Amino acid sequence: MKKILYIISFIFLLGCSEDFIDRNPFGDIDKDQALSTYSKLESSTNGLYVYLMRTDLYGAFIPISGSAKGDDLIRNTAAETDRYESELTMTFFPTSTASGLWSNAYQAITSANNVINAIDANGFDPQNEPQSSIDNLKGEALTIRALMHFNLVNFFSQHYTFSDATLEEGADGNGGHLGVPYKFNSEIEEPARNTLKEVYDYIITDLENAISLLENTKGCVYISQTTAKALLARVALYKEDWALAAKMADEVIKSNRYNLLDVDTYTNYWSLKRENGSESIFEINMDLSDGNFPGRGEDIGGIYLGYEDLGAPVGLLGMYEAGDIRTSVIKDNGADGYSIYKYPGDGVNKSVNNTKVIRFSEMYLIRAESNLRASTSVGDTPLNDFNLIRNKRGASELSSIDAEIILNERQLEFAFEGLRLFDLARYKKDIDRPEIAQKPLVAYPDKSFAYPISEYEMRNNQNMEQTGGY
Amino acid sequence: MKLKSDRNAFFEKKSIRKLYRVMRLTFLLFVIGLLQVSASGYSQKKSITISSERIELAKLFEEVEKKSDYKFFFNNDDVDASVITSVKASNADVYSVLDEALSGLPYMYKVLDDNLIFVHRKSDVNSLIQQSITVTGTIIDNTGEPLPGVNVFDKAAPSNGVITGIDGSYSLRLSNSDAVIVFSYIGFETQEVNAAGRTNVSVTLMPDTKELDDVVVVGYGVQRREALTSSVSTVQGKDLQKVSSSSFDKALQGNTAGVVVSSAVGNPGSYAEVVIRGSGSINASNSPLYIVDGVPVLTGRVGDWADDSRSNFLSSLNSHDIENVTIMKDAAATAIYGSRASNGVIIITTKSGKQGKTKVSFNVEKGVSTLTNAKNKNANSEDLVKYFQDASRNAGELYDPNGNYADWYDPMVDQGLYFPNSLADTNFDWWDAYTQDGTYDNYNVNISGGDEKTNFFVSAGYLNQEGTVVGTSFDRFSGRVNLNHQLNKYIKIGNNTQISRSKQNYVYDGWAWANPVAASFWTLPFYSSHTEDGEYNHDLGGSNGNYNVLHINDVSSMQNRTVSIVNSTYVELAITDNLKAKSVFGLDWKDVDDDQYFDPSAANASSWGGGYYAVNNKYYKWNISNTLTYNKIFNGVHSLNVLVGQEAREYNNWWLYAGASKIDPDIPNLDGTSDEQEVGGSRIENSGISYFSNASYSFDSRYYLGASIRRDASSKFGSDNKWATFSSVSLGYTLSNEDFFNVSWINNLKFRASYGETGNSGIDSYASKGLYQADKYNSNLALYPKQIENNMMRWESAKTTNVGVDLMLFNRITGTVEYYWRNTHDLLVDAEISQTSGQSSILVNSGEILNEGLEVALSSQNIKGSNFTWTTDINFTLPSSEIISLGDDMEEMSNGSYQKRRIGGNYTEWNLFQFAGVNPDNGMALWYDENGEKTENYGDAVREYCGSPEPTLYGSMTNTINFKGIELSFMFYGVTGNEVMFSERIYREHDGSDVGASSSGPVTEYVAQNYWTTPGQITDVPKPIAYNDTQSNEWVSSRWLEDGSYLRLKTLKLGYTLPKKWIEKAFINNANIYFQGTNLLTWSNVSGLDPEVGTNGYSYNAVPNARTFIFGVNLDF
Repeated sequence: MKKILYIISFIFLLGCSEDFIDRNPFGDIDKDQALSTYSKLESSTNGLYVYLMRTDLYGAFIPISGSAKGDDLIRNTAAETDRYESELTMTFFPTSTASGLWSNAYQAITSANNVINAIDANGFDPQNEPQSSIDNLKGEALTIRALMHFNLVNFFSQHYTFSDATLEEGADGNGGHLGVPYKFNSEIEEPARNTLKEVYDYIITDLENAISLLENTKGCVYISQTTAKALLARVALYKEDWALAAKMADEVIKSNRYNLLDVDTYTNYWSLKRENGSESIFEINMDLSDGNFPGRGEDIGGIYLGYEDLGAPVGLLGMYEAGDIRTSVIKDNGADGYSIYKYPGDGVNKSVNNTKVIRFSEMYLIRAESNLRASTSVGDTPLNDFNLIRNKRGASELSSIDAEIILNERQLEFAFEGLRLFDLARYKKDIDRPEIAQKPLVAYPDKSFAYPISEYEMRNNQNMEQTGGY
Repeated sequence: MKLKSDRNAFFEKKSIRKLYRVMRLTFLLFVIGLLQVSASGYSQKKSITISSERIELAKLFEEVEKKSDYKFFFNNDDVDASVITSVKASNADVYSVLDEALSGLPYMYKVLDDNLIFVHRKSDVNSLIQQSITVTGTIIDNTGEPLPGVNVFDKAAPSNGVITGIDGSYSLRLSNSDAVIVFSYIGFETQEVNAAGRTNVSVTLMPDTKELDDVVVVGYGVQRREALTSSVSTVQGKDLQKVSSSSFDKALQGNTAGVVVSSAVGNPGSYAEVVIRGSGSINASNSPLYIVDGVPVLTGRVGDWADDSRSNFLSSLNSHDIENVTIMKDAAATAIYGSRASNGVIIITTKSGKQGKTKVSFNVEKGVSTLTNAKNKNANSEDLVKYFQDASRNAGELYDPNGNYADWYDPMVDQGLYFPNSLADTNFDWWDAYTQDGTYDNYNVNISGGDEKTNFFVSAGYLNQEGTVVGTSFDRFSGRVNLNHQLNKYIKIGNNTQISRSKQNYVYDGWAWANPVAASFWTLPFYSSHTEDGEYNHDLGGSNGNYNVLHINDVSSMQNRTVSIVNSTYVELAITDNLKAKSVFGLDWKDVDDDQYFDPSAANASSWGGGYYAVNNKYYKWNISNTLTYNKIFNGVHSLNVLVGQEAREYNNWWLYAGASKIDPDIPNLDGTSDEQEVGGSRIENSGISYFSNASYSFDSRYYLGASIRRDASSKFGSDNKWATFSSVSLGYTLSNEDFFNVSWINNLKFRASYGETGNSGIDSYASKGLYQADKYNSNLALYPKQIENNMMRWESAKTTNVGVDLMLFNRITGTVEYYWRNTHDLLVDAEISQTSGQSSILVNSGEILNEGLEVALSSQNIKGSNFTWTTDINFTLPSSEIISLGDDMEEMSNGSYQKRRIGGNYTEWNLFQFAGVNPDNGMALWYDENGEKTENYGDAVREYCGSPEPTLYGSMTNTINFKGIELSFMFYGVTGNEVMFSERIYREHDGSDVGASSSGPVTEYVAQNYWTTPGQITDVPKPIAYNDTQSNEWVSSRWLEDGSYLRLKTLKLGYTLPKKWIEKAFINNANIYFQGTNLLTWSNVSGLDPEVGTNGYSYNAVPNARTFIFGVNLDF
């Protein structure tokens, strides 16, 4: 009998260790595990690009909104939906506008922070990979963190040299007004908005760190050292730090990694999937089979050519010289208006072209503008750089240029790619659209250059301040 | 006092153990038998009127027998019945009659327990009593079959007993020829007979129908119903079989208070939601825990593509194998299941063999099913053409006010929206084409029996059901073996195993054009299903996307197949008389294949070349529990029962997915595909461990106390909150067992109260983890965050209070009235967070919901004669729910597009734009704006709360009538107070928005006959306008909301047990034929197909529940 009692008590006490109730997922992966080895960190870094694919980021919103809020785009007569209506009319309410950009950008930022912080904590298994590989991952993550914050301030803040303190408290022409919260972790917090200057400083620090860590080993669908430099050139341009902008643009130009397109290669470039060594410094690989591919048709190609919601204004078309190859991506569809073929699809599917984030031609125009504004000639003279682009595009060379001419050239070169709004802002221009009766549509300065912070964020972050004017 | 300690003897083994060499269970039930005798021991006092100066004694006895239930017996040598006597009695009892009649005669009488009156000579009495005699006899059951193993003993000296032999005979020596002999046998009513000097006493034992009620299966054991302090209902297997359905859960509807069963989709094999005492969780499960023979089993819909039509895991269980179902509702009953208990627990016990002759039982059921409700059909062609023409004319007036709108409707014009009268030449009934008479075939055979050591129950069943909508069917093969064996004095082992294989053919559900129900609504009657050549017609005027679902069903197929194994093995060890150990190992294995073949010629696949998609899911759950039970009675009045136990369990789900397009129809499987091939697969697991204990104590059958505690750990919860403790206490007081209680018509009066905390762990296996999701970028593996970790995440916790009264009145009416409050707090809600954290919300424990309600269950034996009985059972529930908190600062949150939750409101409420009818002046739809004014502008309409899909009352009434072998029973089930949205009306009452040049959609008959045509006309159907953009048929509109009340004749069964003499020669013991109907009649005002919708109150082209008529035969050998 005693024996039986022993057996019974044994069964009872056998119990189960805590291991038994610790179960890890199979399809998904535990966060700690996702950051535990070099190869996992590499995958987690790849995951950052997946965010960039999304409709709310480079899948559609960033390039389209930056163009539609400017004067690159109009409502097409063939439009099937009223997508981007508020961007075209420049009327925004905190109810929903641009909330996807906000949330997705912070998803990418916090995910990048996980990678950066995991590498800094040095608690992962390097799997015998050289330090340079690890540095590269950190450099990619730092660059994406900087790029996302840069997009956030571009869209949610007035530009760097904004000085109307009645609209934006603290605006002093030197980034004294509201930027966005700069996140260095993935904690649940309620952060206040940093000043724009602070955000720019952090962006520049991140990019400079990235440049020191990155190599030029990966292709154009990844971040490499020249990508970080090119982005820093753009950041410095917006900050009007001419020296830094010229220096960075010059270094990219001299990297010998990229070549300018000419009249023979230009049109085809846009329908190519990807071409390393061409004009793409950084493009987002858009692969239909990826689980995160934007809803088919919602992406940039789908909006321009599928739904045909947006088209090119006649006025813009008139600014190109005859023979300018850049008009080859704008086609007259008769009554349906002018359609945009920068993302033309592959003949069957409109949603397969990689979104161009930054192109080589921008480096020449940045170097030209910076040298012109600062009266320097880092690398080459502004006129030479300017005319090189004109020449490659099949347009006539000019004998002299000024800032306004560069501004116009930038519109011709980067139309529909999402840069126009920020150029208009830093040039302190009104926004006008020939097709809209109201002149100007928006007089500079105006709150609508920046988006309001969503109601959702305002409701759930006590420290969040609304963008000036909303 | 003696009687009461007998009740307690339930637990006491030692004192009478030697009597029982059979089974412990026999003993247990025997004691219960004793209880019943005491309960029904009140005598019938019939008053007799008899008056005669001269009457023969024999004649007097005859008269008394006629006027009462008494029977006389006497020895003819002893008593001379021809003696003349006189009697004069008016409304007197039998005693006074006999006292008077026998006064002066040398006779005495004695009234025996079984209404026998023994008349004997005065002088004989003493000698009779002194004599010790041997009594022999044979015990048979009501079918005339001898009963072996019956306990026969002297009531005054229970240790003096024997057991009947294989032929039912016994021989018992009594020390006293006047002794009372007790005959008791499991499953039969115990009888007591006064030997009264006879040497041969043969009795017929009657099956005891009440007996099973008296022991209730509860968590990890059984309990006497009498000692229950918790809220527990039981449903007998035979009551479940009154519903002709593939799964038993649907049959629970109406059978017990506090339980809502809703079948949103009525195709064969489909799933029913079972909610006990209301939904109390927003993001975790609201489904109860199901336990079959001690094994927690999988529930819900099979497979990953779980749309509503998909088959139900519970339909893998054959309901003919079910002995009974226990539904445990309050915390006192369920707290022993800890973190899985909040939604209640349903325990299914399958049948087991009984000692005795091996029984073979056959059951065959064959029947047909039709739709419950076919009203509100589509308009016929003639009405529809007129409607279209009017819609066109109205559009012309609206869009072309200058009057040049002839193009819109003029029959002379070919362009525009011209709808010629000739369209009405064809009037095809698509409803008729897409629906059919279903069939129901159910064959069952079981063999059961056993000896002293071993018993068995073996069954096989085949069910085949064809649905009322084309393309739907279900079949199931099932086999079961239940075995129990007593190894020796100490050890008992057993195993219950069911293996089944079920197969369901299903069709598209919801808004799909390929859904036959939706297609019947959306296809124009101007076109037939087949052309004149007998080919499928693919030109349906553009309506329903030109999908001819008959063709799609013909060439394509969708099917799921489930193999299920549920096994439970136990070993039980009697360590001492009072201490018992038991280990149960259970496993539940389900293998589900879900295959979809799209033929390239099918309208829903032709654009992409068809394809094949297959998912295989394997589920494996195991569970092991070890318990120790201690029972003891102290000093005859203190009864103690203590259980301690430990449990571990694990759940695994593996799945594989493969699919591809562009298929060769001659190779209709994955191998025949050539494009867009995709594969996937993964695995989910979770686990838990628990320690638990419960104790119950009763004093003198008057005071009861129960308590339970469980410590639970689950892998699902946050690392800082893995463990939690749940507990309950309960009290009972049987006032009617008090000595001072003296109300003759109250036979039982018991008060109960319980309070306890239980948990709800029905969340995703990895809900608390910080997760990265796998994807790819540039053909490389990419990982990115999917979910923020919440290490603090813990169980939703419910505090349940239950008070109840159990009653028995006039020995006829039993009832239970209960009130419950279940306050679920730590509700998992999606809390909004700053999006700068990289996520928008996090699942946190912060909400609170109160469910409360009144439950009443009454059972009345209206008539109980030997040939005629009539029982009425009524139960109803008045439930309510209130949201107390939705977490930090949240006043309301949306629940889908049509419903919202708000603090102070119901669990969920409709929140819709308010339809204000039709403007009689111009036929336009009206809405209420924010000032409560009517407006034609939909943009000004405001959303308002407008009722809840939860009923305020539901219940049922069942009548059971037995008359000479004929049994009639029928149940009405009703629901009221709920608002239901028939969203299919959005398209069926499109007000012209579906009238266009290339394709148009039909409207209902009601619309076509009631739409606004003339100024001043009062109607609720707006005027039709082609290309209508008034949004009058807007989705989020109260126009589609209807009173969901209904009353249904849920079941009707008319059976006849053939007289024994007819069947004896065929060696048949029992033959029963019956007709049975399910969902026979429905009273409801809803315009949808079926008022029974899911608990979310939302109907969308679902296959309605079927009305089933079957004819069945039961044969026992």
